[in-house]
Amino acid sequence: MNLQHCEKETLVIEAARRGYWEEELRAHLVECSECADTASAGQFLREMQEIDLAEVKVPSAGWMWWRAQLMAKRAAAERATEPITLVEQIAGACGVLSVVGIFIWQWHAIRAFFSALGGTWQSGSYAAYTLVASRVQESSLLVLVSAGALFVVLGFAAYLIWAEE
Amino acid sequence: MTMRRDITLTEVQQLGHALDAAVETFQMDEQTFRMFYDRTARLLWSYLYRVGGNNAALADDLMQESYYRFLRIRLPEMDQEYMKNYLFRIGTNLLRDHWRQGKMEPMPLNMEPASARPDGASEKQFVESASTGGAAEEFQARSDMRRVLDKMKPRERELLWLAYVEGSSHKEIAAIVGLKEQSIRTMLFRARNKLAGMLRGRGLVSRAE
Repeated sequence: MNLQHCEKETLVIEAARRGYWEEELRAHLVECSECADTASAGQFLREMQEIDLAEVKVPSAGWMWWRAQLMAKRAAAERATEPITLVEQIAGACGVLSVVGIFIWQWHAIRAFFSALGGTWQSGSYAAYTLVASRVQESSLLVLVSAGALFVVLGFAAYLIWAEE
Repeated sequence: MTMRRDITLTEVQQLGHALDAAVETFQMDEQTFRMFYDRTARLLWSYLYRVGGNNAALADDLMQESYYRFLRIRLPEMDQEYMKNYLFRIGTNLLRDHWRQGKMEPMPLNMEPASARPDGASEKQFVESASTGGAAEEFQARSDMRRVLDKMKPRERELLWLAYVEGSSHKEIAAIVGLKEQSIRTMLFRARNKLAGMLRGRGLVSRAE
């Protein structure tokens, strides 16, 4: 591509921006097609800007300052509550995982408990129910309580650490 | 499902400190900002409006976001012109993000809402209310001008506006649009030829006065 460059191009752009043409420059536009194109493009765009500047109503500087402050505060509030939300989510996930883990770990005991419970309902034998229930309680109740307490304490500790940070 | 709980005193204090700190992060004081804003706001709006495809609502949103981001950025000591260029760079990037997300499709002229026009009137209302031929002619001329600019690519509109309206140098344009300085000259040359050709084709060439 042949990039023709006229040394008066800068002057032409400036004249188009200001809307003021000296005689010499105006005469140059007749001779130089490159500058004539630059002049017509520049004048066209300047006219568009003049329309905008005359008609647009932008908010006041005070309003924009207040708005920027508000946006900054909102962003800061979101950042400040991020750790709290995160810890809440972690604590929730820990709770769900612990319940699932205990179910998997003690599945046989739980199954035996519910089987005995079903059998008890069918047979109506209160003694059988008491026996099975006491066995299940002996083997797993302590573990269940311990694990639950551990997760609660861990979640609370994590929350305190994150909140302080 | 949302979980609700009471907020503790520590959290309230932390929130207060964070909010105070957020305001302190602005790089300039209110008085300086007011002067800078008064000098640049309408220029930036016009740039965003024309480059963004004559969408006033988009120009409003991006102008607010541009000033907010400008205030948040920590910049070294710089003169007013450099600050203005930096602001335009933020605006240009926001426009580009907007296009990347596919949010903006330039609206056809007859579908543009009334609020999106600088004159605030719909095309039909304007033509009906124009009691003199002059107003209708002016409106027609403006429509023609907008159609010409709509036919340019966004990148071309950026370059032409910065060079011919803002009077930016090739180096400044390169910094604003994120291109190499060497590329600007060629791209600007092509864009100018395209625009001048369209203006000639539509008989919109104005003589130097």
